[in-house]
Amino acid sequence: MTENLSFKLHSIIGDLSYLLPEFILVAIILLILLADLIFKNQPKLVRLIAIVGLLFELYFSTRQYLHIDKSMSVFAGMVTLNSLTAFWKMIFSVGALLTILMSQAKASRWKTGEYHMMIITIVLGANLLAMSSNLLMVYISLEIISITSYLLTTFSFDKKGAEAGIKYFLFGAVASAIMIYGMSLLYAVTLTLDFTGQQFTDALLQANPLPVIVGSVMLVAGFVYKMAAAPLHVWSPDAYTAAPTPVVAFFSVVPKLAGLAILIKVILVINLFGLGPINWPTIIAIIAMITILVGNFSALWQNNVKRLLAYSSIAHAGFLLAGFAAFSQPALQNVLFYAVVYLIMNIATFMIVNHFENSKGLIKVEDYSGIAVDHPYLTVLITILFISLTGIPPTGGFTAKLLIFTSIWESYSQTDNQWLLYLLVFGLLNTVISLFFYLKIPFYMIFRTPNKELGSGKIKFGMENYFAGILVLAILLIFFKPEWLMGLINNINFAF
Amino acid sequence: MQIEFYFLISSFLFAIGLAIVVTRKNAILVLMGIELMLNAANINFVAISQSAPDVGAGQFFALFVIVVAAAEAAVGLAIVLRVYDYFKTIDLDNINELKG
Amino acid sequence: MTQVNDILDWNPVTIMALLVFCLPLLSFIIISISKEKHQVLMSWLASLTMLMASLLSIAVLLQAWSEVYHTKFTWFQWAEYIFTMGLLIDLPAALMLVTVNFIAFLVHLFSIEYMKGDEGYKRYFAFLGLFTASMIGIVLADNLLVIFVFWELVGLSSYLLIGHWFSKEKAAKAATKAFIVNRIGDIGFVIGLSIIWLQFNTFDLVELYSLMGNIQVADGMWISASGSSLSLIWLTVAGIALFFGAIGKSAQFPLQIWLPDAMEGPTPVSALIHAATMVAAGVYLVARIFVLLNIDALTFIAFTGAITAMMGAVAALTQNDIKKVLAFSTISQLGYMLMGMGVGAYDAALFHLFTHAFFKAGLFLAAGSIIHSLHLSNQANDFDAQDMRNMGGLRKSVPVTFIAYVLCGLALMGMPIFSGFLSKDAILLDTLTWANAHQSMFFYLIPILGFGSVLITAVYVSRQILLVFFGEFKGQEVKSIKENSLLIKGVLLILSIMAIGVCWSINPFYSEMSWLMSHIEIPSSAFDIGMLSASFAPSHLMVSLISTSLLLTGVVFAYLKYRPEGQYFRNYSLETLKPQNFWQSLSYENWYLDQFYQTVFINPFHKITSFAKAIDTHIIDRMVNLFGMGSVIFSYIVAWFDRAFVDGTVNAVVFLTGRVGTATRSIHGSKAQSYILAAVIGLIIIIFLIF
Repeated sequence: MTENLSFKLHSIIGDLSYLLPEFILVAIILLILLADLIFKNQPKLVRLIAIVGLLFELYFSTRQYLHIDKSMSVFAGMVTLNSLTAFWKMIFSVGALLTILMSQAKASRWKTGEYHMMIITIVLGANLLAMSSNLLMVYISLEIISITSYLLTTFSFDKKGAEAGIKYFLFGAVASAIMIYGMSLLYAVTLTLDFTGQQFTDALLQANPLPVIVGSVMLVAGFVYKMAAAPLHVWSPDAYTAAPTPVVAFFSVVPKLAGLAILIKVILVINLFGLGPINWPTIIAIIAMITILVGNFSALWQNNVKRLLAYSSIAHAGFLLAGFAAFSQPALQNVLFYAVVYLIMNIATFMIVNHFENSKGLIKVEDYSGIAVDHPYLTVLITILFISLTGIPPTGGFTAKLLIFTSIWESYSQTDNQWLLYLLVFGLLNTVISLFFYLKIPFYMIFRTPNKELGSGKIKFGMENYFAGILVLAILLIFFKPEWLMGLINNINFAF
Repeated sequence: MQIEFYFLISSFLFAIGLAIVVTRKNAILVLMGIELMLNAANINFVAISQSAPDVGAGQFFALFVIVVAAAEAAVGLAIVLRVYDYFKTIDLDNINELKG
Repeated sequence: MTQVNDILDWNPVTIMALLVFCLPLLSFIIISISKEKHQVLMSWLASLTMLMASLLSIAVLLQAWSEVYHTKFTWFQWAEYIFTMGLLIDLPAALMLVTVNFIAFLVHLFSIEYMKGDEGYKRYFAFLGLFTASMIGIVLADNLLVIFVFWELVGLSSYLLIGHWFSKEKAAKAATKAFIVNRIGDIGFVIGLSIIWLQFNTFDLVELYSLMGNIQVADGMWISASGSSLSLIWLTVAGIALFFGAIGKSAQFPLQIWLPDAMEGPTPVSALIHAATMVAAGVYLVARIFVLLNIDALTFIAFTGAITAMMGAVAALTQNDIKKVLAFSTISQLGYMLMGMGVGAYDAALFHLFTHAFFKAGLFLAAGSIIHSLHLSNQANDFDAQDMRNMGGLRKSVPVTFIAYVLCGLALMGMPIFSGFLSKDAILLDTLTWANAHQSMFFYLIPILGFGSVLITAVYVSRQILLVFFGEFKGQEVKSIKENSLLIKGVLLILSIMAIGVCWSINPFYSEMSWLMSHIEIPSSAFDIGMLSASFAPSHLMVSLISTSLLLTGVVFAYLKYRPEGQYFRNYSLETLKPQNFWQSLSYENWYLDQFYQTVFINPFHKITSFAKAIDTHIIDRMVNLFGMGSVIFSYIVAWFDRAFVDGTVNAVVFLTGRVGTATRSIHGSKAQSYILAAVIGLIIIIFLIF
């Protein structure tokens, strides 16, 4: 027993170096706490620590991405590290970096230290979630993200924020309770928590289908909730409307993609190579269709720009799931491609919306009337972004959607699963529908006469607009040179 | 005692917790309902760990759930306090200003 | 897949063509970044750029006269597939290049005068540049995917230019309509592209030409050289799907509804985009993909074209807006070209495209000149300067415009000596040959529709000329109407000279002698289209005689009905004239297509969306309501038991009311809890679905 323990301890200590990016995140969190305690009201210092720390983390994640070529089970089997998880980690850190860059204008009014700390905590949770290979680890890292998210939602410190916070909190708590109940059922069936192991799969294959079905659906519900996909999406419009815009941008990217990462990982296991009691491709296809439908059709009627984007992000979650529904390695590559494009275009859109909200107080779509006259540059950017969100050439959004649809088609032609065909047709139709609400904002900006009350005149051209410009260039570049991004993704070893 | 009884108890507990969450209007009571749901899962974990090869795993899971639930409750109560500051009530019926 | 992706180097001709593409783009960029105060200078600069581009494109044409130039390079690589892009310059492309550039140049010149003092002067010229560049992109691209990209860009710039006066509600709506209708056509384009890709794994046109040459058709299967086989029906579907893109862009039946509305844009734009170039892109596309089309697809194209030709001509008969008459006439003429394509008259259809581009641009610009004159003489702007009910007798005040209008109008009718005669007769001749080759009488429908359109065309053109230029002026009292400046007159003169047949053929009565048409070769196709012309060749003279006599009949009829002394002319004014019978309304309302779409597609769509909205916002509430009602009933029963046995009925009623209130409130009001309930119900549904 003691020998066993010391062996375990040694292996844990030996594995520490593999978690370097996560240790850096913990170090930043502590440093920010300290800095906030010692030097009060030093937002610049806190930001500096956060940015430099995240850059370090990005560097080490990239190293992991470049140097790890096979799957490694680390920390007594709690987490697995491979180039795929390293790539997800890179996505998360880029998302966090851009969010922090965007929050510049408001940061001084907030409790800067806490704000940055929580953002980085979510990145930590997301990193661990993407790597988890044990149900306990999944639960803990999911809760790290959730609990911090509840607090960030209330960060606008007003009545709306508090209300959105409590709604989000109650919904999230119930969702996680449902998820661990599902975990307990799966544990009962398999007698192990390590879901990547052979024992887990074997036990599931032999088990009675009823507990497996209930347990898997409840487990997956927890991830679907994190992704804000149907039917557990209802919290997101309220939370997105009330939370500060940079936080919304962050929510719509990092926790969502982390949820997707773990969803893919878990479902590939519980799919049991198609031998299990559940036809997951069909279920995912149905969930994707409902998600796309709810997202797009609700967005059609929104006047509030942030709410519109909230529904749009629900629809995009649907497209990500749609890509996954194809269940093949190229399909997973295409989902990663879509995720990267989505990250870039969504954060860039929020950057500009945030800029307008801070400097001119524009909240509703009508408020954007005639902005083009004073801000031609931003109008061009936002038009390109909305074109990309819709998925029309010449933007990366088009390439990403094209790839997703291609993989669905290929999977359909191989498996003859009718639902995939419906999904394909449905997705195409919805792309057309989404045109109507995405182009609404550019339409108001360009073709409506300016609103007198808001007062025209140039506004300060913030740093974040340069970043938005760079991101828009990236979106265009991805259309013209998709193989650069695809090259990165092709390097990933998809051995699970 | 047969293991099925534990499952029965836990599923009852889960259902009662869910019913409380959906019907009670006081935010604190809803939080309590959530605790019931979490503990339903805990009962499962502890009960099953008896027959599992690695006895520790299930029990540790239950411990972690308790700890995390405590953290969650702390955050939840803080948010409830915030809400009380603004709305002067914790009746969920009256906390409804954002439009769907 | 061997030899598929050769890289072809640049040569002087393709570099020149690339320069032609870059010049308008340059103009777009320079104007966009220039200051507002330099806008007039910039517009002259833009015209100069276009002049340079026209001269260069003529040089390209001379080089490409007898040789095909092709350059391509790798665009990007995707898995094992290599996507290329490049320039393909054959004779039609070079001719199209000259036409686009030359008309764009004239329109630029015309616009300098026409748009003077407009608020969006700078924006207007910038978008003109953008449009020209993207149009040239379509013309030059060697690759269907690249064509599609420019296709969309052209649609975008058309959208921007139609909506130029966006403060006008109608203009903004027309722009949106054009955009959306074109997207519907694009769905077909995309489907066609996917089928082509599936079969050949390439979008490169030259590759496709050679691959199509090597295909085999056996047992109802369509087998490519690489061995990929699909059911033969897909070949037809691919052709028709690609043609569907052309239907959208070239405003063919059933998508022609956007073009008349597009007349809300500035008139020079209508001349350039909605008459001469962009709408012809659909015809040009069909020409580029000609070898991909099999007999079924071609027959489909021929019928669509013929029906549109007829419908457009009929709709033009009763319009009151001077530009709408021309718009419907454009629809009809485009139908002619596609009809020609469909019957295999590749050369004649392209020839008609070029002649039409010039005389229709001339007609539009002449209409623009009239509108401009009326605007200038009527500063108060209190009547509609596009409405023919406000015109009449203008031949005295704007003589140059009158001459240009008549010359171009005669070309449109297809009067001998004029350019339209040459190309139109060539098409009609081939339709007759084609119908003869088929054994069924049914196929004679096409030549009949074609000849019928000639008659109607003559009627509406004569009607317009009579109503606008003859008789007495009908508008309100205005200061004297004056002819426009030299610039406008010059442009009109150039275009009307181009309407005369001698410019196109040494013998203006015989299209086979045309220097242009005789050079265009019909691309050899895997499907033997040539066999159709074998059996019987109708005499050229006979066709000319029939069409000319039909034309003269039309003119005489129009003169009798619409002459200035006639009853129609005297009654023709804003107050009295409404469509008097069913046939007139049918024509005036463009066959009620708009109303049809409104009831069949748009209204149901609105219903569906509002239904979906209702579901999204109400289903939760409904569910909760039901739940609430259930618990109300339950509490009712409980309370009844509770109180009926303990206290009297009076107490029970009091308690009940209170209980009901709390029960409904506790369930109904709270959003947070109904969210949770809805989600849980969703999960339960999924679990049951799996079972």
